[in-house]
Amino acid sequence: MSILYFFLYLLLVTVIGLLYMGVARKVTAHIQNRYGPPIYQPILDVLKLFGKRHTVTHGVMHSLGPVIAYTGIASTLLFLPLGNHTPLLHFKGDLFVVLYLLVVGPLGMALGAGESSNPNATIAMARALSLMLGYEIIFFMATLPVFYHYHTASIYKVIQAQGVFPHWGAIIFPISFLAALFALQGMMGEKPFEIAIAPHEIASGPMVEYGGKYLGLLQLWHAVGIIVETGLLVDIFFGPQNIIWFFIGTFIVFYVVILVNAVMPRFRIEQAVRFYWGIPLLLAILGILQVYIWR
Amino acid sequence: MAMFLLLLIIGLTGLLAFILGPIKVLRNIISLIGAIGGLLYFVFKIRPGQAYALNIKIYNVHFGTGMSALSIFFGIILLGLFLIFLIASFHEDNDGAYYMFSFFSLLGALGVLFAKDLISFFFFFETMSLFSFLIVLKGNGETSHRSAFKYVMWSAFGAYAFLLGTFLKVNYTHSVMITDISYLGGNIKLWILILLLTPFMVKTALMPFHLWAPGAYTDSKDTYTVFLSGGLSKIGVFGYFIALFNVFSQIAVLYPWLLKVFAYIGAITASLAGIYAFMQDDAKKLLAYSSISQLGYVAVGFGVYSHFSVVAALFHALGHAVFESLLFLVVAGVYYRTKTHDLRKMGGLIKKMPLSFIGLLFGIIATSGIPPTIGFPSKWLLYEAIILKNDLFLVSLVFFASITAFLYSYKLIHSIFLGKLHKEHEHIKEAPFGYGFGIVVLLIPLFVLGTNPGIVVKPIDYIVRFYLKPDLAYNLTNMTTPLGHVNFPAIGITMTLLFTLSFIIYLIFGKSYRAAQEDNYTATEWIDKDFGLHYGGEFYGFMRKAFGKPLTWSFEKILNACLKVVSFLGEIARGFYMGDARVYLFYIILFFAIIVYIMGGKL
Repeated sequence: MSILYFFLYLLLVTVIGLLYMGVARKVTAHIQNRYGPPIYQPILDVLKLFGKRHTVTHGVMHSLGPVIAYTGIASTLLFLPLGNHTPLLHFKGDLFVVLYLLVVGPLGMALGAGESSNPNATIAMARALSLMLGYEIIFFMATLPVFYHYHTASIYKVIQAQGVFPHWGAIIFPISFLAALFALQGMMGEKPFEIAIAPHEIASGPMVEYGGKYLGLLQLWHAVGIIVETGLLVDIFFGPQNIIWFFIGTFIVFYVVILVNAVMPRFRIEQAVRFYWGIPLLLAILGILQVYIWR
Repeated sequence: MAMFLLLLIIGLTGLLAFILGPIKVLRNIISLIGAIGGLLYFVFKIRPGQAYALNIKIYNVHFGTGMSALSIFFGIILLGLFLIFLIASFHEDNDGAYYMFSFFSLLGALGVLFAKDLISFFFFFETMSLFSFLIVLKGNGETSHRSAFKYVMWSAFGAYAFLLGTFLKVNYTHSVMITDISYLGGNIKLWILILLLTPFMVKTALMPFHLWAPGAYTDSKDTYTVFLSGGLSKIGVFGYFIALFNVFSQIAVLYPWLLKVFAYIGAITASLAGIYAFMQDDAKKLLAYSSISQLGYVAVGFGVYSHFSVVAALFHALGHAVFESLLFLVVAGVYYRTKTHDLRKMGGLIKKMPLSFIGLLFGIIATSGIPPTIGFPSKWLLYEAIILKNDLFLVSLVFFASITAFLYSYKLIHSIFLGKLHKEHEHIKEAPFGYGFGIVVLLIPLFVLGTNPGIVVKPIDYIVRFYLKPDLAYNLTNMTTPLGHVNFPAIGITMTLLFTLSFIIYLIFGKSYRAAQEDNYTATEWIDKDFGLHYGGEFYGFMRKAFGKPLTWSFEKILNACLKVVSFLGEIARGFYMGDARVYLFYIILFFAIIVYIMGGKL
């Protein structure tokens, strides 16, 4: 029974993630004065990709890369509470587990993309990892005050401790929340931090040699990744929500991200990293100082 | 007596290996028997609490040796790694002296673990430094002489500081034994502590004292680096423990700021060395900086000075011994086949050396601290310990350091094993048995201790519990701190199950066929087969722009500036002694003239 539950859980999040991707395409199209594909288009894309009979591979690691990437993000999902809902695998000390499991996905993708021996893919991975020096530290520093304030390292406990509307983390720690929003834009890899994908420059980066079922798995990875990354922000900064409000919350955050994405040009990699070490870092430090002064 | 017998076994094996030098097979068998015998003897015969006092009364000085649980912990790491190094080293072209030196450096390191007084501690520490210096000197690099010289100079700097500290301690406490000095009045105890800590900071390459490490690690023979980085640096960690707990047990009460400074130095070391690591183009230099970076975490653990931060530090020291040795071993195996350390000249070796690839893959996963490997429990404990000490900036700095680990890890694995296979490497085979053996052996603790950290946390906890108030609850697979709780195998099992699931998805849909490595997207550009498409050099070149000028700063430049000042002053001083008799005559006359002037003509 629990195995069935687990499959439904994974399926639900994957489908919702794919729908979010569809919404993103639609919204971007409307902003650019186009009509855009239907919202369910990414689902059709994934089905088509998995339906391909022959796929090119460059070796064992190249094939396993997307598999590891999906493994990593799906494991993260199981440790992340969806709102008020207890996560399927629940420890109290799971912030660091989630942060480290989040990296498994990019690492798997990096290994797979690396074996394709296409320089575009490797350049993209080098950029993606360098960008982590920017956003990952900002995101970590922005969430620290919340965890420190409630004296726990558990995401679930932080959700419970926040309480209803006026006692949300985002309202108690507005500066940190702002820094986390900056970090989220980079974490999702949307413009102006779309440096790793950069279709016009390095041919979709890591995906350049992937097709068929590999690309399908990577799409699923991206879909779950959207929910996990926005969900982490919602969990930490928006208090206890039931699962419907949780998805509405992630949708709102995602909507903000794609609105910024639609109107922004792309940074160069060193500009992006430097940007993160400027104002967002200052905001994150101010957030930490706030919690120190508060105590 | 058991300890002396062990040292005797190690020493005699070294001598025999030297005498039998030219007869290669016999020498290898003898040294193998000696190392295995030493390990077995250590595991089965030596117990904590065994002590022996050598009552040679020279000016009322007693010499003593003894075993503590901590010595056994580090002793097993040392002897195990030495065995792995030895088996791999048989593939290299070494002479008898090389084996003698390596056995003697092991002897010195074990002696340090046994010593209970500062004089024999110093003696064994110097034995270790001297013989490891001689091995670096025998290295294969062109710059090995310079690196060895640097290594021995820094070791000597540490050793003299230690000796000075010992004399000060003897002067004030009238005892050479390792005893508490925190009851001494005034600030002298602080100076003694800092002086005694210096050689260990040099040995673990903490930041202002790290300058010897990249050179020595790069230029020593590849297999010995496994022992030098994984094994001998642990003596520094052992020394931290001795200095901070046995010599100065009240440091948290008397000088909390010193601990804070120590922790921040460790965190800065971890971050900066991580940044330097991903800018290197030489595999061993990259790993050298990675090693420095990882030992920075250990210093942070000691600096935070709570029960489970010290547990984390010791666990991380063990983890460092496992994964850093694994990485160095793989790189050694790759060098054996390709004869290069240059990351720009390798690539695509995954198809030729699959076992080495697996070793390096899990090595970097552990280095980055990703569960379920040995790198994760210590990092998890360390983060929680720092948050409990209310230092959010320190934890951010440590987190930054751990991100740099992802960068240099990926650079290492990509440049060696992924990407395009070079034409001259098309007929390369897997690394020989000695390397493969070490890789397989090291992979076992990497996973077993990553999912069941309780095996090691239990003995470590017994050591630390004696000095600090315990606040960590644990069993074989779980750990609970006041902040949180983790079940380590659960993470591993989840990942395995989900991997199986993803793998099934991968298997059921469609077939895949293998494409040649040239057969890829090049934006309709026609690429010749010999065209170098491997993205190896300047891997993170754009980060040079992101960091800007600070990246070019280095401690070495500061030291070179000091050197310039000293030589300038020396030049001025030398100017007085020109070697010309007339000038000296002039000085003599001048001297008398001044005397006459001062005396005011009263002569």
